[in-house]
Amino acid sequence: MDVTYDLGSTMKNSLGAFALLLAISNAGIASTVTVVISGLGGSSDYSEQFERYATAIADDARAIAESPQDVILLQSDEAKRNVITGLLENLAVNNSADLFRLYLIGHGSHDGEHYKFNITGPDITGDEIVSALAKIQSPRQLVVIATSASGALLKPLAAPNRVVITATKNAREKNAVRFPQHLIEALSDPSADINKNESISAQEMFDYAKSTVANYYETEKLLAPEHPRIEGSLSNDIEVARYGTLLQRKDSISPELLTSRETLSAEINTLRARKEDLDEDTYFDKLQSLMLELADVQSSIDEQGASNVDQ
Amino acid sequence: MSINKLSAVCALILGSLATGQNVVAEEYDSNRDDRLLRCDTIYDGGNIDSAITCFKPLTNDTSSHVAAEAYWALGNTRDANEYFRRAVAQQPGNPHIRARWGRLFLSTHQPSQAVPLFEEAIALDPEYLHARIGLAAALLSQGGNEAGILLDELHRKHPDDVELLLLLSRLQLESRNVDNADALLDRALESAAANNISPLDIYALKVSADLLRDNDDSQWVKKALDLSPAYGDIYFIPVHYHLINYRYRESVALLRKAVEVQPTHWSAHSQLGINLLRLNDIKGAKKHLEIAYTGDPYDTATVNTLRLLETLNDFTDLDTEAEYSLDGTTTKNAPVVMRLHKDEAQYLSPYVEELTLKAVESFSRRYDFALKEPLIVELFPNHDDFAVRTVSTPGVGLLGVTFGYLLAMDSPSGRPPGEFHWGSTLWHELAHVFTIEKSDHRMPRWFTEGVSVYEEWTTGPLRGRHIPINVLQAIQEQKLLPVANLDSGFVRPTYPNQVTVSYMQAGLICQMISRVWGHDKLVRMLVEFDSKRDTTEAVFHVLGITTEELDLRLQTFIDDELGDTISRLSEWRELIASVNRAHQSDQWSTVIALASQANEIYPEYVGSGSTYIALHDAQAALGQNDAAVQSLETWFEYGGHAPEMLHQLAHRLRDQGRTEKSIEVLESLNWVHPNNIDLHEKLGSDYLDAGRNEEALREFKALLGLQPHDKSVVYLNIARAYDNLGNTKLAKRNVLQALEQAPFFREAQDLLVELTGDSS
Repeated sequence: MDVTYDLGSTMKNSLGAFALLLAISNAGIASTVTVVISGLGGSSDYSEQFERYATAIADDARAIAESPQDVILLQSDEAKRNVITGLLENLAVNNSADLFRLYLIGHGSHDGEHYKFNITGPDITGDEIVSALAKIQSPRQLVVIATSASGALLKPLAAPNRVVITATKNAREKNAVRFPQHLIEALSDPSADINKNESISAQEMFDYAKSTVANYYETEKLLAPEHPRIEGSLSNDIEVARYGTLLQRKDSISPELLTSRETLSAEINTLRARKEDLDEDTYFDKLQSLMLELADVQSSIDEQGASNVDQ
Repeated sequence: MSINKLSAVCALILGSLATGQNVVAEEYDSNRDDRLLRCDTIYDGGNIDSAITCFKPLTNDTSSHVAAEAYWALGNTRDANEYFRRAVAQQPGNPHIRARWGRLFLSTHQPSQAVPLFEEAIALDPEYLHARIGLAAALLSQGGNEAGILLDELHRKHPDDVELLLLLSRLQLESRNVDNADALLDRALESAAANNISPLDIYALKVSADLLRDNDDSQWVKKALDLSPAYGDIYFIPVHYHLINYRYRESVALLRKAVEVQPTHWSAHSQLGINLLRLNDIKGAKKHLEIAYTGDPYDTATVNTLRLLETLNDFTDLDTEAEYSLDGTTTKNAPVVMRLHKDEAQYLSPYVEELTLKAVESFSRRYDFALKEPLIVELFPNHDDFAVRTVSTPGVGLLGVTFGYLLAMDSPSGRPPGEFHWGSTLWHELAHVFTIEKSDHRMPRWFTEGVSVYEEWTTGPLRGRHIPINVLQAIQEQKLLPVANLDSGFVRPTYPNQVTVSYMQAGLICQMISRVWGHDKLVRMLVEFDSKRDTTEAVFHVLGITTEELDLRLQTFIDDELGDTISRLSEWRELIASVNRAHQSDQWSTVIALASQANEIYPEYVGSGSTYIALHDAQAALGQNDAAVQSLETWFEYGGHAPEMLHQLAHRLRDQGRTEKSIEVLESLNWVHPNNIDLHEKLGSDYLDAGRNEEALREFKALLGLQPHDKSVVYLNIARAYDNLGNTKLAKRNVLQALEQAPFFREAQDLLVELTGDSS
């Protein structure tokens, strides 16, 4: 069945609801489920921006998803309170995914007591989001609230199995944020991939976006009205985007090579952690030895990937 | 002392710059209360402790006015201010109290607060002299010539008023008209004697006059100290005339004497600290500023400078050496210290070093002068820190300042991108080092500024001669000053942009001297100034003409150089306006026609709203890409330096395959906006591609200093550059640093394998 899951501007509500149910149903068997929601823009410029950002995130998520159906995009009129809460409740019941990712893109507000995500119809409150997400069972979760005032949800959303990213450090940063724009860039810019393993983690995405947001305000000599924040210990273990040949052809690489790669990677991390305790030359000698081994493994992986493509 | 405490006192409305010595000096107040006068007399006799004992009970006087005066005399300007407020409320029709309140503001360097109080007093009594003199003094400290006119008018009516005579003599001393000042002071002495007024302030100005005549052993010092042994002002007041002539060492010597005779002269301690800092004696500066703070915690200059000293802890000193040769054969070295903020030292130091070393090499030769002390170059990322460094107060509009061997300026990160060409500013200040030191700080202001501007135009890192439109306008309106009086255009401007006009006029004079008589004449003039000759004498001795003739020659020079542009300035302005209108409505062919016309009239104009940019946009919109690039190139050749346009030009040149030119454009960006990651990435890569590995290394190392998000690529490029230079050890170390950041980095792995010869 050829179903579009982009429930954005062209779909009528009825069709949207049908597609949504189908998506939830299919998401239940996925190892990763991604939900992307864009809120009200308030002006055509912001509306267009939010939809574009949300679409880009959804596209990147689909590129690494086992099935396109594992990615659910809610935009404009579809993103209503009852639809969102209903979706999250259904996911809580039907979803057994190992990884759950949620992105909220748009305007947030805070009245001194409550955070609200601005959507068509009644806004959805921070409490409602926290409550709905509390029921999600996935052992690894990523929640990105890329809105103004989103810092208000940083602590309420924190959980041992969850990484929370907000565009602002607290509820008082209420101006429209540039953060989502830089988040999108992180998903498609290999320079966000600091360790060059062809996979961008939640931490790498956050670091890139935070750095480029700060750089923007610094360069323009403007007082930064937004300070992105991250909470949670799993940020290096949650993948948000992938590129390059290795991961695209991961299935065709022998498990031994991949294990070898992971083992060497772990040894390198251990060595790096001991850097301060070692004499500089000793450290770099050991590092060189491990890096040459890793290069050798990488080379074999590349060869295997290339030959499988040739076949 | 905590920084928080300092911040708190900084916010106080009233400081006490002039009142830090426990009791204030002569008041020239003919209506002064007898009880206050009695205390004044004790003070004038040098019995400061007794004077304090005398004033103290008066702070509880039933008259708010007397209490205010007593508080003021004791240096408590906050309570004095409050009691003046009460006194005015109690006696709103009393002009004397308002005038005295104005004097309080005047004494605390707040003339803008003082002016309305004097005006109110004058409204109550139009002939009230104490208020009118106060108003003139307030206007005088705000600059402008209005004060001079008012003082002359008052002096005609009151030729023997001592305070008026003192103010007029100060004006004469500032203009170095020492004989005129002396005559006024002699008259003041007579009048003071006749009216039983303390002559101490007159003596201090007499010492100032002697100092300006290079007489360091003035008889008036002894006279003053015989009269009042603890009269620190006898040394403190003359310091002003040293400072306005850049003589910081001599100022420090006087200030040391001031605090020796009057250890409680807090303003002298403060100024001593500030000027020691200008001589790079940070430890000595701290000591005296802390003494000043202990005695007078409300002095804003003291507080601001102490805060600055704390800020300097975040700076790092980087040592280097400049090479120079005076005779073209023997090479010598001059130590240079770059004092940069820790956060930007890594990316900024290569460029500060390059320009400084080049300047020392060039200016040593051009001005036949070898630096005798280490050169200190300070760059401040926070403009207010720089402002405090310069004038002890934040909020000034300066870009750079030179105290002799120490120069300080805004760092490029201290202002929005492209707002100033920091390379030119550094070049300008470095030229000052040579003119100031070669003449032993004796050159007139116009000359040192003129040489610096001239060097900016001819040898600096920015192409072209940049004369703002409002300066051309001033030339057209014949607002240039005679060269003999050009310093007043810097010190006491009489119209809004006169300082800028004076800079440009001075630059044009130096350019003309160099072109017409030869560059060596500029050097000869410095020698003349060092020999204590003034502008008139130096011009005559070196050029063989009078300053009046020099003024006429300048007019001819300007006519030849800029006459056509100046005569068609209105036409040019109209064309600019038309180009802008046509540009806004996408009338591209109109833009091309009118912009070309405007560029013919004033081809050197590359500032804001430059028609070269409009021309480029129009040509690009019409698909005339080669012509568009050519327009930007012309703009660049004339010294255009807007960062965004330079990036665009570099990009277009690269597209045309003109890599070397593209590199040249990118290089120029380092002198405008070096704190830009993109710039160093592109320029480093271009250098690497062009085999210019040393330069590539400089760019990539600077890039690391900007904390790029992905350092692994930068380390890899550094490794490549070292590899190209044959330095395998450093290449290997850097490629490992790349892999340390990014273990799976394929290109870095490949290079490591290649460098180690490991083919397993």
